[in-house]
Amino acid sequence: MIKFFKNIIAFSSVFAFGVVFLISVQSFILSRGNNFKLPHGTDAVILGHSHASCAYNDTLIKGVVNLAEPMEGYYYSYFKLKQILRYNKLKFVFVEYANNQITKYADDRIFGEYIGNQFPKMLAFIEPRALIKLGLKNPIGVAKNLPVALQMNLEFMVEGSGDYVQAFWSNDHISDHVMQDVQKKMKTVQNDASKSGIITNSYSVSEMNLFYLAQIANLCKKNGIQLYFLRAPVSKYEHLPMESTFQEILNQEFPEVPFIDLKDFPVVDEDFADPQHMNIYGAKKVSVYLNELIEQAIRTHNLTIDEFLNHH
Amino acid sequence: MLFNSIDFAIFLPLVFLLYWFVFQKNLKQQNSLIVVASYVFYGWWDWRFLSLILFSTLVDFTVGIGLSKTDEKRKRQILLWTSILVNLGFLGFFKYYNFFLDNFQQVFRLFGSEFRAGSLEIVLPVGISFYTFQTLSYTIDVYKKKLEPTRDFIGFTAYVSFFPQLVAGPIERATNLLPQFYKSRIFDYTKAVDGMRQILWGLFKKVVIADNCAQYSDMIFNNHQDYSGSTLILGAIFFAFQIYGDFSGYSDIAIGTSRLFGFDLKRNFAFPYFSRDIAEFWRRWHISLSTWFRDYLYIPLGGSKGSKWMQLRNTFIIFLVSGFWHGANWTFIAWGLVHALFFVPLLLLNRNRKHLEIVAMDHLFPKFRDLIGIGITFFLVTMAWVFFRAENIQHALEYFSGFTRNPFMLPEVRPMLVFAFLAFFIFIEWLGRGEQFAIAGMGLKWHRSLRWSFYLFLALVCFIFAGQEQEFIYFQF
Repeated sequence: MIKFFKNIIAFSSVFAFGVVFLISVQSFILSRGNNFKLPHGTDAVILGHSHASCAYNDTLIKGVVNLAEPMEGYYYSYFKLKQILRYNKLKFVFVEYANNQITKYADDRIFGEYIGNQFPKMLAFIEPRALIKLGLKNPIGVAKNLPVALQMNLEFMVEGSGDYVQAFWSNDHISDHVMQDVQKKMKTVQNDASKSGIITNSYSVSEMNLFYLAQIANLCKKNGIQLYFLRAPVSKYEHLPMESTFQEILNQEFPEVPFIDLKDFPVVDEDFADPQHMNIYGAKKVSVYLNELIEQAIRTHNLTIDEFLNHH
Repeated sequence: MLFNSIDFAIFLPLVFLLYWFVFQKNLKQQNSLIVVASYVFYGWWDWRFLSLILFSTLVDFTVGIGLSKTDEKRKRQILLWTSILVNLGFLGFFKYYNFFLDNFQQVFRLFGSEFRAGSLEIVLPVGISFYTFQTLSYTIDVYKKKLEPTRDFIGFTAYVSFFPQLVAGPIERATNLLPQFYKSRIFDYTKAVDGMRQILWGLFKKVVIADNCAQYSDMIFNNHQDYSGSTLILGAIFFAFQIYGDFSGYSDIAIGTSRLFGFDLKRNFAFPYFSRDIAEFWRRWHISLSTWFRDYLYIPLGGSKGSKWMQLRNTFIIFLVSGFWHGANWTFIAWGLVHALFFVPLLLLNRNRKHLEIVAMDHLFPKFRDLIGIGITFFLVTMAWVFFRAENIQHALEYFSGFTRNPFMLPEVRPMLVFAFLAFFIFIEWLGRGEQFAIAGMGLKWHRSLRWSFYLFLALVCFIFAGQEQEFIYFQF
């Protein structure tokens, strides 16, 4: 029995080492530059979760690539940006600073229930220490998603296009669905939300997400990149949690980061696919507007952002 | 609980440690642990159906006791039929009720009248066909006085619900497995290591071969109208490997897991795709089911005794029942019928027991004649799988008719990674075809580092492809 256990432990150790080795090899191979080259003329990227991925159509915004992905916490955005910066020279980074990114609910997207959403696409680029942090938070979730990530990456290496951004981070989430029967839908959304604990009387803050938002700010600073926070429009039916804390964090933690708040952008119900997410029609309006804002208030400084927001 | 899940990866070591370290000195406690573990294992999927297993166990245990108390033929027959009716009644209700109802309604409609009865919205309890046959074998053997009825309820419950083979076999005979619950088990290093090797190979078959082939066979079968004939043939081949990897993989994990606990289960697959004719294929495919049907249906019907017509009748019955056992759909009956038709020429020519030995046993390569035999048999089996995989007969016929669309062009679907794994898999299976499972003897004489590297390679490949956690096909049977 002792011999059996000795062998099991020895083999498990070798196996664990093998998994780490595999992750490292995949990471090394995948991190090559041509996997991450953004289109010529790109000087800015947008990062964030589904609000951003649905609201900004980057084909309508000059020089900008929208890398936002549904369910993406800042933890993943940070490593995504780091990887992009290794092979691209950017001038601006836009990060979707949304209310639900600061609530505790954001933890679910990083290491909780929705870990499977972004973790596999990002595994090869997460730093070891950060990976261990994630493993300590949710060992089962990480263990379940490690093979998913390894398989996905292996298949990409063998059969993929050679463009990781296009394969996994491309912004292709804008729906042509038009939100209908809003009241009924809202009831469902709110019921779901209250069941899952999203809507509570008192929210707490996702420290992990905010830590990595600060890391994004530091990374931009270090690389001489101007960081902007964005907030995409949401429908009038959407509840914006923790607004005062949201503003407080913005002013106290990120006083140097300009905030482009499109919360009050004039929209109608038909601009949304659901109460939280814009559709192709809403995205067109917002993207054209954002393109103009970037041209006039960021690239050329004809106007300040506030002036642009007030005048347009 | 799936064998290829994190849950099982935690469950198995936990039960193993309790079994060998906490309860090792008391056989009753060890058997009780097996019962509890088995019920947890099954209840993980749906605890409500545990009552079915428990009821089935109680009925057969009681019938067994009853049989031991009487020699009166009539009373014994009543007891036997009670067990058969209860067990097959459950199976019929959960598995075949809607099928018979639909077909009755269609027949009535054909004659212009209406037969009204509501179909049932019921879930098929996982593995019901397996444990029903297992427990039936006990009662029949006791009735035939081939086996002493047990008075050890815990041991009998453990036999019926033994978690490694509960949901998808091998279907164990009471004569083989039940006595193992009466004897105290001693940890055997060689047996345990062998079990680990078999689990590893079973996992490879399931998560690497079956699940990867499933991805493409599903895609091709579900969109068959969009593909050329060559791709459809490839889709059928993918399914052939999917079902083999899936089912024999499950059996390997079940047998390997049992060995960790000191039990020996019967072999269920013996490299069936290296068979040289259909008869040999059926001696090597799902052995526990085919021998069950042979012993409890074919032989009582007269078996191979009697006239050729009787033999033909029995052959058709056994293949049709075997097909129907797999599921309540005409596709399974068609699958059985097709196999019966493949088998008949061999029976008529008295060539159904021609290939009893392992192909090219002392050679690396088969003879040309054997190779042709293997190729033809694989082709026939693969064609029959189309019925097995299709949603309905119409789907199967459409799939076959699609074979004529550009059958010689390069298939549109060419997953290189899957091809590479299949080539590796066939190579290893061929090398190990003389063993109980492909890697049973492989590398035992190699240097330890080389042997471990081989196992590590298999384990890592399994890990990489383990993320899908797909169910085993045979769970639905």
